[in-house]
Amino acid sequence: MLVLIGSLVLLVGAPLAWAGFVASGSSTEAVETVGERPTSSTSASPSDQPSNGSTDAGSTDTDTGPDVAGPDVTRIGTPVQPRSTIEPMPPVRVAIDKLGINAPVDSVGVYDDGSVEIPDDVARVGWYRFGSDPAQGQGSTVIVGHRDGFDQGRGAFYSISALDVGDEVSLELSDGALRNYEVVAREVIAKDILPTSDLFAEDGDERLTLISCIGYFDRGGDGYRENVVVTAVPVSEEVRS
Amino acid sequence: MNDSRTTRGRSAVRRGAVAAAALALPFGLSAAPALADGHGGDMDATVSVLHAIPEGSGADVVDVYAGDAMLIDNFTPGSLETLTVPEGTYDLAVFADGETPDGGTAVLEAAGVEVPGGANATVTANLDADGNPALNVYVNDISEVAAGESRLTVRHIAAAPAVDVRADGAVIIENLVNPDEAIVAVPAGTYSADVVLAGTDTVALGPADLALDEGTNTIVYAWGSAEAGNLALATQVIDGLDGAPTGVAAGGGSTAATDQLPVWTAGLMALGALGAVGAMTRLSRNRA
Repeated sequence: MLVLIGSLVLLVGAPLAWAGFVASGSSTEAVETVGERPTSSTSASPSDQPSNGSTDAGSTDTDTGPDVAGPDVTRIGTPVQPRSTIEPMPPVRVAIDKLGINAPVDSVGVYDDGSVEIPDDVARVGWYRFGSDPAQGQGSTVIVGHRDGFDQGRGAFYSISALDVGDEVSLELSDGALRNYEVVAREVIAKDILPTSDLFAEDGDERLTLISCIGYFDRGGDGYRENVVVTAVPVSEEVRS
Repeated sequence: MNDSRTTRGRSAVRRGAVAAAALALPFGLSAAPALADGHGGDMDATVSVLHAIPEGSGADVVDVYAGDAMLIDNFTPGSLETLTVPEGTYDLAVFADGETPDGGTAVLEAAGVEVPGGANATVTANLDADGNPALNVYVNDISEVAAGESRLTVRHIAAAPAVDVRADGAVIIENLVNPDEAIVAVPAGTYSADVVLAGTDTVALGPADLALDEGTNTIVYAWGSAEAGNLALATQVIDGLDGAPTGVAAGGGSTAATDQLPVWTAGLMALGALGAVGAMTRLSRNRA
């Protein structure tokens, strides 16, 4: 009789256990976090305010312009200078030696549903052109890549969840320059709570953010349930040489 | 070309060169999303001023005052100045160069303009539809712009009839009259834009390439006078309004574990089934 009960427990319990594991995918916090990702909120950058093409120059009411009305005229207001814009320097190739990844990078935007466009060819990855880039000296340079295709097999970013803190990632830029980065964090985050404002922020510490998919695949239409996010920071010149 | 809206101009305070009485503006720059930033205490506001009275209209070089304090010196037609000012209520006045609030007579004025902290507004000195000088105050929309999109604001501050605005040949703003504004959200990109008399193909301005960058509010002013033949465009760009993408869908699933039960569950189930059958067989045998 005990054997019968035990057997029935297995028979019913195994699929239930699996279902429970699957259901746990819709969590309200990151499924896995390794290391610490710098975010815009932890940075000292003051430039998260909208501007009239402005900069954060000067904060006093000092008048520096001509003052033909005479020195006795009170002035009010601080002129806002146009924000200096730096030409973007798009990455054209991403290399991760540890994983044997060496993929061409396309410039991408967004689909109609507002999600990031990802190159159809899963061997290629995409740089989010509406975000930051390595020439800006601040913010998140975001590169997205497929884990796999519908019928193309493994994508360029299939294995980035195997990256650990300290691993190296390098970018080749459109001018031929190389930029080296060191992984500081790896996270697996449920898609419905992906902190896109932080991950795509154009301000804050300069960083490289690699994003792909991972986890349970819902064939009902939602696809993978989680994103894997790898954050890397520039390696200083001294260390590089 | 969705999300189009047109609003009445906030105010049009007409002042002849000799008129002096101030009009109080029941005007609140209340729509200030930046207030949600959590900055407490005294805050600054951003105020831009556009000189859009054509040359030869008696306002070629002016000074702009807020109360007794000078805001802009030696302001000329077509110029746009942007300043940060402490939040507060301001009496704005435009004086001919060299004249001051102390004894001078304002060309234009708007009293009691409320400027809350975090607000972003543009004051235009322009012509009304009939060609008289006017001072308008507009609140600039600095709410987040959806990823991949650009916000276009068009303000009619010209002595000219109703107009349509076209982008790449398609009408995106219809029947705009002085001093109204219209706002549309469009995919970021460069458009060939022109301004036509409303309902016609008669081009009043343009065409000109209009770069609408992602995450910006690009404000285009049509100013000048149709009669005098000096209609022109002025542009103000407010950047840093970028919204983040909604997500990253980066997998087709060809390598995914299927959503059917994985192999290990099948194995355990088979083991369970075998055990159950065996146990029941034994039970029934015992009964026999």
